[in-house]
Parts: sequence; structure tokens; C-alpha cells
Amino acid sequence: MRPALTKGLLVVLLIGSLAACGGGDEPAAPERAGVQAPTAHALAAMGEPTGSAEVVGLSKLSEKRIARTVYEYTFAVTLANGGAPLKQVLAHLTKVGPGTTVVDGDVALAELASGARVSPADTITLRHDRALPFDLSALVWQVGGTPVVAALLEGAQLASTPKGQALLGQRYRTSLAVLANDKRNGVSGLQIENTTAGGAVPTIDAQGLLDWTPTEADFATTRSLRLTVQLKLGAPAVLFVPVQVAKTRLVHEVNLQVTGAGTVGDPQGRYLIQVDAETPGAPLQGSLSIHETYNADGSFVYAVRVPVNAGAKLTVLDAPNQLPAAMLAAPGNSAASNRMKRQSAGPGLRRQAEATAADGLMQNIGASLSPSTSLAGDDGNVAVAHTLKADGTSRVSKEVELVTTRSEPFTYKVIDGDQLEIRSARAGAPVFQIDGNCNSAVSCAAIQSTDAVPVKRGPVILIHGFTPRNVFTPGATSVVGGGSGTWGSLAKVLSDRGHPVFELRWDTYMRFEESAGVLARLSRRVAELTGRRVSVVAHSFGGVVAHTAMMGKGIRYQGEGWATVGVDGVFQRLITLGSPLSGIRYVPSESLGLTAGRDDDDVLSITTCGAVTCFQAGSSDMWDGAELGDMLNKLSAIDPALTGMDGTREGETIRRLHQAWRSGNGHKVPFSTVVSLTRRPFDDYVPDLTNQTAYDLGDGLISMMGEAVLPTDFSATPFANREALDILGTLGSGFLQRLDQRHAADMERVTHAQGTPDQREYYFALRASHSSGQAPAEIASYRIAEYPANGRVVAALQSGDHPLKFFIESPLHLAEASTAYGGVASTPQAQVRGRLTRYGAPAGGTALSLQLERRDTQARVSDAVVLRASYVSGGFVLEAGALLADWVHGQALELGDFAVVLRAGDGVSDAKVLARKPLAALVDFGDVDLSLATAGGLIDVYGEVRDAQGRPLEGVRLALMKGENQSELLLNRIDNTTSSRITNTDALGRFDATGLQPGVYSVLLIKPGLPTKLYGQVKISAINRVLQFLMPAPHGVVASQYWSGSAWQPGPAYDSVLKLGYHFGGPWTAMLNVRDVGVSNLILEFDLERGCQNLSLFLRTDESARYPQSRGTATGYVFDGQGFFATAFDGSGYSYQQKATAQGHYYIKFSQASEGEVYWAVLHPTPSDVLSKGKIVGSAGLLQSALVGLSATPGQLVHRNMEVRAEQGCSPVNFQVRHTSGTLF
Amino acid sequence: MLLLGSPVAWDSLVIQPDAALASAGFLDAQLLSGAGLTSGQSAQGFSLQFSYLGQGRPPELPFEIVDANYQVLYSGITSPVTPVPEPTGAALLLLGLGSWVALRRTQGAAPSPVAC
Repeated sequence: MRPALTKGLLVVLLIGSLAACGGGDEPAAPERAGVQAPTAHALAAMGEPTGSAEVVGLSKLSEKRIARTVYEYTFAVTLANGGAPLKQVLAHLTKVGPGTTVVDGDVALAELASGARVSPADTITLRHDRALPFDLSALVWQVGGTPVVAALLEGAQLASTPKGQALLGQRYRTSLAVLANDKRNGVSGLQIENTTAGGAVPTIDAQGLLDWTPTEADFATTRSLRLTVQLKLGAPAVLFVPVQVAKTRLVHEVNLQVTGAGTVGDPQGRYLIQVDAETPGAPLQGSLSIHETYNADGSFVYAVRVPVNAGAKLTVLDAPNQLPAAMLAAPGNSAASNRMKRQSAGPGLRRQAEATAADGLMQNIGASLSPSTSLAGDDGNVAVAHTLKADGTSRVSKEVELVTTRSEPFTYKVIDGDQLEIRSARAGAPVFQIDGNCNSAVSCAAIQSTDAVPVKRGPVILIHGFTPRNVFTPGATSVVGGGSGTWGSLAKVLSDRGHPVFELRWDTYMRFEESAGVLARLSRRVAELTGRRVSVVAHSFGGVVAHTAMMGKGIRYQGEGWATVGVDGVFQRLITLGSPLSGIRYVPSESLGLTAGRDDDDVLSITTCGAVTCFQAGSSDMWDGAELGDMLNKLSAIDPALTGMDGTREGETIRRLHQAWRSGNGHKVPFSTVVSLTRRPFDDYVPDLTNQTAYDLGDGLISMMGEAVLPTDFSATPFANREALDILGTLGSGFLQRLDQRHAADMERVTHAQGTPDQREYYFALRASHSSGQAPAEIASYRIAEYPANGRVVAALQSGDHPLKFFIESPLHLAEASTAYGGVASTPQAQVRGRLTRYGAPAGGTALSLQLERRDTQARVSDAVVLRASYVSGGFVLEAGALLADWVHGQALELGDFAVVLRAGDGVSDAKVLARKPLAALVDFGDVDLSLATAGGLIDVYGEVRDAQGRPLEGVRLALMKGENQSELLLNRIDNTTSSRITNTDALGRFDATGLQPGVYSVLLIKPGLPTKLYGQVKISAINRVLQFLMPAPHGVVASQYWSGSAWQPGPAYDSVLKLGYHFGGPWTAMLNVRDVGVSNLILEFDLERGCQNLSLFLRTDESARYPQSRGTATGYVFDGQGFFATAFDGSGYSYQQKATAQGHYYIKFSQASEGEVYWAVLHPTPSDVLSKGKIVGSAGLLQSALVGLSATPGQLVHRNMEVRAEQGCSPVNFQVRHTSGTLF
Repeated sequence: MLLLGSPVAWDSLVIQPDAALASAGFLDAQLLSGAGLTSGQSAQGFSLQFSYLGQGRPPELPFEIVDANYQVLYSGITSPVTPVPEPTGAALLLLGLGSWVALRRTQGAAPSPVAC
């Protein structure tokens, strides 16, 4: 022992097991000093927190001996917080007991939530002299931290909407409750402001009492008051208080005295009040007044104030047509007021007003019309003077926007507010703005003007492009575009030339067919009014609407359903400006996936134009750098004078698009795609916009019959239209079960959906919209792939395709009978299904074809669709609606006009028809038994092809031709008839061929890599219909030859054929490297003419790479005259040496029986005479390749080409290697 | 735990178990001088008394031999503890044997009445 250790030698006898002596619960196995304990030892709890953060426990992690009685202990600390949340927490050990010193008494923690109990990773370290007991209670801690205070919220909100209705000229007082978003940041003051020019100034006190007397200007324009909420901290909040200003007009007031039943009315006959006194003789006496209270949009309510008479009952009739009638309850007090609302005026309320307007006027005329009233426009340079006819009353139900640059006054006439005519007071033609924002719920009365429009030149209808809904345009109030934003000065130019201009402002969120219906109706009306055919100028998607209308695809809701609205040939010309007539180009790399139209937009010839002159101005990129004037020169087709329009001022929308293109940024039209769902059931594919949800969500652009398309993915923006996705979630109470989780937060409600609300089947609609001029929004994609209602997988579009593209392609191209375009926009819903059987059993994997034909003419209207029945059940399903989409659109045919034809086989046109059924939403063929399909004496055969190992072989091409032993050449050229057939095996090696004549056939089996096999006599008959074929094994392939020897020279008998020569020097080796595919056997043949000394044969198997260990474990076998014997083994294969062999022909065969079993045999002199055989022990793999060869001793005459001829010793050797198949032994 | 005896050249002390530290008690013996223990040599004379509250006999006890820096040079366990008979039991046995011998001697001097 070294002296240095001797002095300090200690023997420590640990008495851990005697812990009971100390009364503790220590573990039986003591810890080794200096080694961290595997588990922490919890010390006695130090108590619960008493209202703030405290140390409540220690756990010993390790101990280490420092001195003879001093140990260093590491503890984990448990902190608990009974108070407010803390951050940057620090626990500091300030005092310890006798014998204890602090090495590290600080524990830091980033945050400690309220009520939390945490053991931080940070630890403390104490040293303690074990000569003294450790006093846990002597530890004194100081715990501190920074309290976490929630961020102060800013802003405030209105807790309630204003009460009551503000009346023009009358004081309006209402209390507003304003709540701060954070109690700590309360409201300190309120200010209110009326932003309407010329509007009355409102006041508001500290308690929120609003006091305001609106003026005429407020009635016209005010929608909200600006409320500024001062907060104690931070910036003030700005809220908008919605107000509705109405105007009351006294219609009639009369001193009434009626005894018994009677009537009373106003002088104009607009109201007729019928009094039914229930108490005969009781007079109804007092003042009767009738007031009308108008809203700014022209709607009104009327109030009839009648005297008290408890026994009377009043009925207000709408004279003279008594529309609509309404009952008034008996008034209960002296000033009873009963109000009834009418949204539209009946014929009896018809009034006319006339006014003059000038440049830039945008006024609500109806609200302001009264005798001799003058209005000023916003720019102060506009004057309106109008006079009212008849009784001096007027009413306009629509806000009329006049956009004209003319300085001359002109006259216009308002008729009931539902229709608008403008008659110019000067030479220029009028400009009409037609609110086409009408749908099934709105009558589109604006189109139904009754007065003719005098024109000097042909009328022009302008149709603007796609306009985003206000959800994309914060602050916008309209969903219609057009106006100066699109057309700039074009309307003026046309008007100045004397063309009446009708600018259709359409809701681009309607379905395009419906918008096309509006345009068709307007076109026909304009033609009727003007007596001329119309020219249509359309921008962007407006061109799609125009073409849709021209093709007669417009629709109109007529109370009980939808009817087609045609243009009846009133279109004379159609000029589209950069319309995506070929669909939308989808560029996934773009931020929103879409850029512009396709390349052939500018040259596209719409065949449906027919007699209509169609032009596409602007290229596929809509503008392509061309000036607006250049494009508008196309208008010369309308009016030869409209050339040279370079000075035409473009609208803001067009200008921005144009600038974007010229700036080199490409032409990004920021489209976004949303997905919306409709509650339309599966079996109702007729457009049904009475479902308001479907309409509001925009069932317009794409109406997909969900089950008619194949499952795939599509992209959508989960937030660009939250409205739509919210609906997703709502309907999703059960609709979609799985979405991509990349935006799980947004999709949470959807992903938890379970089942459909009523267990019916629904489809979902896709919407595409674009937000021109808006900043592109981030796009995110998710998938919709499951359809839990019935377990089927459905989705919408082929991956990479954009719904907008499909929509546009559909209406514009389907009528061209082109199959190049997917017609999913109006894909009918039709599913065909059934089950193929053969002798009652599922005919799994059998090919079949389905084709549609017209029932009346039996003309085939679709290509055959080849399916393969399910391998398990034999079932098949085809969504047949897609077959019709390319053809049926616009043919006015119903599903029932078509039939589904089911044939066996893979699309053979003349194959026998198994079944034929009328097309419907669901066509169920039920079980179709192929074994019974022998009509016409034809036979259906089926069977399988296997390889040499008996395994099913896929991809074998079978050529069947009637006749014995037909030549391969002929068989390779057969076609599909009832006496010849080409078919292929499936993954299970199965094939079938239907509709063959019975007889003897030649069957040629072809598969690349395998020898072609001809079966020359295959009998096919009603009882010989199940065929089985075997393909031969592949030939061995000589991958390389190898010859080595120290010297070789041609011998005296050398010739160019035999290449005889002498071998001198060292040993020689001739080898063939044979590649196999592991399915065949290896045969080595050679001839020995005389006994050959020291001729070695060796074989090296290159077994499967899966079994590298198989090498080096084998034992060789001996061939010594009668057989092989093991001679050498070099670690990489087997070597066999042959000695004193007999003369003659030898066969050496190797057979792969299975994995790990390789047998060998030597056969001599015939292949049937087995000299010796055995098994290569230890082989564990498949015989994949072999290196075989012969080597001989020096001095032998050999054949260069693997033939060995020896003058002395060895006989000539005819050496060859081939493969065979089958079992050798 | 109580130290009863220690060889002269060794300084021995006993540390009591400490429940507050979850640490076991131990006997620590330090060689104060001399050549120490050579191979095959042993030191005897350590005597420790403790109370064992478990069942059966106390198990083997772990021990360590450490250097001056308290690094473990060797660790092991002691041989099974040989129980030491309680003094009262031995005294009773000796008393019994003594009584029996005295009785035999007494019977040799005077015929036993039992033998009659």
C-alpha cells in the first residue's frame, strides 16, 4: 500500500440497514459516497404556502463526502405559490442550523403560477457535519418574485344598440351604454360627432345620453354617428353608433264622426279605413290622422291615429286596390297608433317626379323630393331642381347614383322608385345604372321599365367584372361594382355619341347563371325599349356572364323553381375586355394561386357566338400592356366613330390592374378560394337558392355535386372568408370529420363534427372569388377527404385545379362538345353500382365497362369507362354524372333520357351487354352473374397465369386467336373480335376475356423478360371456360466471360472456328458469370473425352443480399470419379476439384428448392443417371447468380471459347451453362 | 450505535443515522500510523453494539475503504454476522451444567434414592 494512502486510510462500515436505530425510513441499501442517488429522497414537508410563494419541501438528490464527518448534499426544492402569479422567482436560503453551511442556497425559477407547486431544475447545495443532527426546521427561506400583471386592454364597445328611431326634424334622445374593455382602463369621457356634411350636430353627456335633431342631410346619408370614447389610459376608442333617420309626413287629418259601420279615407284615395262599430249607434268621433314615416331607402310605415271607441273595430284598406289589407285592433286609448310596414308600393301608390341633375350628383332623390326643393351635390357644384306631378308626393325606393360628367342639366323621371328612366335634356343619350343585385327574393323591377327610350344609336350594356364582397373590402357597403370605378369615362363617350348606356351592376356573388339571367332580361328589355339589338361590353368576369347569357344558360327564379332565360337574339355584338374565356390559369406558386386567364383568351373563338359578333379585347393576361384605348378601339365594331379612343379615361379598378401589369409585377389577381357548404340534399341537384344559407355563402361560382367527383384535394383560405368557414363549422355539427390539422385552431369545430344533421347526404359547394386591388391574403390549405355520412370519400376537384377554372370552363366550353374540359360545374348526380359474380361467387378483379347511351336513339354519348370490380366483394361503383357533364349540358335532357350499359371486359366495344338500365341518381345493377352471360353463343373465359414457381404472374399479355397453333407473328397482330382477343393479367395473375366464340384457340403469352409461350391447342367451350397457363422460367443470362491464364497460343490445329491452342505456364481458368432471377435451376454441362487430371470445377453462389452470412458456412462436396469432394474453400464460395474423371458427357445441376435449400447433382452419362447428389449445407439464401468455371493444369490444349481440349490429360470439354425450370430431384 | 472497542492504531468513531438527511449511520475507523494492512493481513478488535429492530438476524453490512480524499478504494460487505449469545442464556446453561455435575458428584458420594 502506498504511504500516501496509508495515513488516511479509513474503513467505513455503513450501517444503512440499521436505520431503524435512528427511527427513519431510509432505504435498506445505503448510497455510496460521491455517487448521485438514483432517486430523490423526499424530506419532511416544510408546510403549505401561507398566501405567497414559499419553499414547502426538499428532496435529497445526492450526497458526497467532503471530510471525515462532513458531507455535501444536493437538494431539489419544492416551491408553492398561494398568492398571485410571479415571474423571475428567487428562493434564497438565509439561515441554517448547527453543523450546516450553505454552498449554494439560491433557486431561480422563471415563473410561478398562482396555486402552482413546482420543483425547479435549479438545486441547492448544503454541507453538514454528521457529528450533529441535521435540523430541517432551522432552515429559513426568503422567496421573492415579480408579480405578473395582465396587460391592460384598450378599447371600448357599445353595450346596447340605440333605442327608438330618429325622425327628421324631431329631437332624438337615447341612452348609450359604453363599456371599456378593461375595468382598469375605464371610460373617462364621451364625444360624439356627425360626419355627414351638413348634418346636425349631436351631443352626448357623461352618462351616455345622446341628444340629436337630424336634418335633411342626415336623412339622406347618415348611417352612423362617430362616438369617441376617452379612456383613462391610452388612446381613445372610436365607435360608430348606428342610427336610422326616418321622415314623417302627414298624409291626411280629418275630424271624424262615424255612426255604425262606415268608411273614411284620404283625399287621394290611398288609404281607405273601414269602421265596423260593434255597438250599434255608438258614434266614432274625433280626429283621424294618417302619417307615413319614410326610411332613406324609400320604404315606409304608416300610422293611423283614431279616436277612442271601445266598441269599434277599424280595418285599413289600401285603396283603390285594397292591397294589402290589414286589421287594426280596436284602439284602447285616445291616441292609439297602429303601424304596419309595407316594403313595396302597389299600383295605387304610383307617383312620378321629375328633376334635373348635373355632373357628379350622387343623391338620394326620393328622400328629398318635395315641390320646389333644390339640392346641392357633395362638390357644391351640382344642382338638382325637380318638380313633382299630381299630388306632389314622391317616393324612391332605391338609392340612385348618377355618374355623369355632363355639365348640362338633363331630365330624369322616377317611377315608383322601382324603375328608373333618365331622359336627357340635351343631345346626349341617357345613362342608366341598373341595379342588377336582384335574386330570387328581389323582383328586379328596375329592369321592367315601361316607357320607351328614344335613341339615335344602338344601346350599349356595360357589365363590370368581379367585385369583392365587403368582407374583402372593409368599409365597403356595396357588393356590386361598376360605375366610374370600372368604366371611367367610357359611359360618357358612348353617351355623347348618342348610345343609350345601360350599366348593369350585378352582384358577383350570385351564381353566374343567375347573373346571366339578369343580363338576359335586361337585354331583352333594353331591346324592347329602344327597338334595337344591343351591344354588350364586358370586363373580365362580366364577359363570362355575357357569354353565359348568350348561350342561353341564364336562369331566373319564378316562385316555384328556376326557368331558363334566353337573350332571344337581341345580342348584336359582344366585346369582352380581358375576360378569362378559357378559364383561369392556376399557378400554385403564386400567393393566391391564380394569376390570369389562359393563353388562348385573346384568340379564342367562341363557337356559340353564332350570328353575334364577338371580340376579345386584351389578351389572356387581361391587359398585356395594351392601353385601354387600344382595346376599346374594338368598339368600332359598335360604332365606326368609336375609333381612336386613346383619350378614354379608364376606371380605377382597371387602372390599377393595368398599372400592376406594366410595373413588371405580373398580373396577380388576388383570388381567394373559400369553401362553403349548402344544405342541399343529395337527391336534389336542381339549383335551389331558396335556401338562403346556400345563397349567402355564394353557391354561385361552383355548384359541385359532391359525390359526382373523385376524391382529391383542393385549397382554400380558412380565414379570407370566415363567414363561410363559420358556416362550415355550424353545419359541421356534423359534416366533415377530418381536416388537415395544420390549422387546427380554425378548424376545431369542424374536425369534431360527427355525422350529418339529418343523416341525409349533402354536397358541398366551392366558391372562388377574387379581391381585385386588395393585398393578397395568405393562403392556407386543408383537405376535405371524408364523408362520414355514408363512409364514402368525396372531395371536389382534381389536385392542382382551381374551382374557378372549372366554373369558367364549364359554361363556355361544354356546348362545344369538347372533352378537353372538365364539366364539373353542373355535373349531374348519378351513381352506378353493382356487384359482379361468377357462379354466385364474387368475381373479384374482373374488368367491366360502363357506357352511357341515349335511350331514344341508343347513340353512345360517352366513352366506355373501364372499371375493375373489387377483389374482395366483386362490387363496383361509378360516379356516372361526370360522363354526362361533357355532353348533356345544354341539351335539355333529363337523367332518365339516358341509359347505362354494362359490359364485361376492359372496354371492348362489341363485348356482350350484361345489363342496361335507365340512368338515375342511383342505378343499382345488383348482382350481375358473369357465368350466365352466354347470350348469342359466346363464351366468357377467365383464368390465371402463373410463373415457373407457381406464383401468380402480373402483366402477362394474352393473345387469343381461334385456330390451332397459330403463328406468333399472327397472334401478335390480332384485334378484338369474337374470335380473337387481347387481354392482360391483373395483380393476382387473373385475366378474363368475354364474348368469344367457342372453339380451339391458340394462346400466346407475352411478358418482357420471360420467354414467350405459345399454347397451340386451347379448347374454349361452355364447359371449358376456366383457363390456366404457366409461363416458362427465364433463361440464364451470361453476364460476362472470364479467361485467365499465364500463356496461351494457338496450337498447330488452330483455326478460326475452334480456336484451338496450347496453354503453357500456370493454371488457366475459364468462367462464366451467370445471372439468374432466383426462380430457375442451374445446369452445367461439359464433355470429357478422356480422363482429365486436376481439372477443377468450382461454383460460387452469390446468394441473396439478405443472407450475407450464408457465405462461408457451407461445406463442399467431393466428386471423385463418382462424385465431388470438398477440396478448397476460400471464404467466398465453394470449390470442387474433379479427379480422374471418366470420359463422356457430364451434367451438374444446382436446384433452388426454396430459400436456404440448394441441391446439387452430377449426372453421367445421361441426364437421368445420377452419379452423386447432395445439398449445400448452410445455404441460407436464394441462388441469385453463380460463377462457374473450369480450370486446368498447364500444358493443356484448350478452346478459347470455353471449350477445353487437352492433348494430354484432359479431354475436350464442351462447356455450357443453361437454366431450366421445374423440380430436378 | 455504540463503539465498544477499537484496535490501538485505529481511531474509530460512530456517526448516528440522521433521518432528516435520510442518511445511514456508520462506524468510521482511521489508521493513525503504521504500515497499514498488507495483503492477507487483517485487523481485529473492532467492536460495535447496535440495536437491530428487524426480523431474524442482521444482514451483512456494507463497508468501504477510502483514501485521504475519501475516494473509495474498495467496497464490500462483511461476513454474515455471528450472533453473540446473550449473557443470561450462557449463564443459565453454565448454571444447568454445574448443577448437573454437582448432582452427579453428590449421587456418587451417596446412593441415589431413585436408584433404589
